[in-house]
Amino acid sequence: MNIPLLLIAILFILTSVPPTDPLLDGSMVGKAVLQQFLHIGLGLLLGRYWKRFYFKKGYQRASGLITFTFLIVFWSIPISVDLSEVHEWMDQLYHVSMLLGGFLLHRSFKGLPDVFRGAYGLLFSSMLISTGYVYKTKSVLLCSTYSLEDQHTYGRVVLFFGGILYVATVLWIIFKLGRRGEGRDGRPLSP
Amino acid sequence: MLGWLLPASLLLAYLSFLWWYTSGFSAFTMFSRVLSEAGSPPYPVPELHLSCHNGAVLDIRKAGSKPVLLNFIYLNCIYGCPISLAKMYRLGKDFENLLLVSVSVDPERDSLEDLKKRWSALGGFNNWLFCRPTDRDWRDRVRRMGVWVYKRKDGLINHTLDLFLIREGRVIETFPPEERVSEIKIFLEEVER
Repeated sequence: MNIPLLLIAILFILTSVPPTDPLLDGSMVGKAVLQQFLHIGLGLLLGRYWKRFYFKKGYQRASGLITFTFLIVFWSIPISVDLSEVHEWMDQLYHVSMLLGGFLLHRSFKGLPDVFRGAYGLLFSSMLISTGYVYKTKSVLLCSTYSLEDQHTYGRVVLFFGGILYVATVLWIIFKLGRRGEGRDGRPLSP
Repeated sequence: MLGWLLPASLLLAYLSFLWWYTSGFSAFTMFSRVLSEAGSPPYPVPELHLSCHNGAVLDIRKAGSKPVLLNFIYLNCIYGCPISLAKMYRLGKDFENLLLVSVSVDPERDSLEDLKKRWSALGGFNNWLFCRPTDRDWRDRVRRMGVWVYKRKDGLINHTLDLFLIREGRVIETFPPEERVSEIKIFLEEVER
């Protein structure tokens, strides 16, 4: 029996059903940050420990990244947040798609050239920053299932994480890709 | 090379889906989606029966040729309703030929007596009615009109704050919550002419 996979399955179920799910759904930050990134994290772990469905070709990795991005965009739209609160099946679809998203992200990132990793990191963090900015600054209610305060708090948290991720990606690009211009001993490569 | 058709098709499929899902990238919230489902003005008002603070029973479709300005409120509302009511107050003062109707989206709690008290507190205009729906399926009916109502777990109700201008049984214009009173006034003056 694969113990890590079993643990991932148990954790996923525990965080997708009562009493944890309603507790997390009680606030936008709980639902759309904590639960979302927890399930993406579980998806990443699933990708690491499940030794099947590897993406070997570039177009497969690109398809995985496009699907992951679509899932994140789809569940950031206020209608989707509302529908997942109104219909239980939509809420479960949300959980499963975030797990799938994490899995796809793991498979797509593995073997991806560093330049693309850096570019995608910037794109993803910029997406988080713009989403956070919209939710933080709008003075009208976007999600009818939460309050305006909830909406603003969610916006602030996403903006904060997006900003951190952006800075981290820039630093990663500088140190990781910057080292390519150096020889093994740290000296610049001669032409 | 043929394999790259997969991500290209996926991208196209996802974008098409999002375009459909958000009614052409125009409706991103439940409020705007329900409003767009109702149609673009002018569109017919669904049958909606109201009992009002003055004892009158009203069917919005049969309110006559007089323009009716409708908003949705509830008495325990602490967010958008006070602003919406303040707009109605300012418009009610300036347009005596306009019938103002404030409809409660919490008919279980908002009694006619309480609605009358609020009406009185807001000037007690003769052309302003505070009503509550009497139909059992009033939520479906107001939804067909473009109004989204959601009762949250904490008891508060999030609902559409747009104002609906109705004439001869048709919604002829909707005013979003951010629309200024001065802009609504310009439109109403044109309707009066």
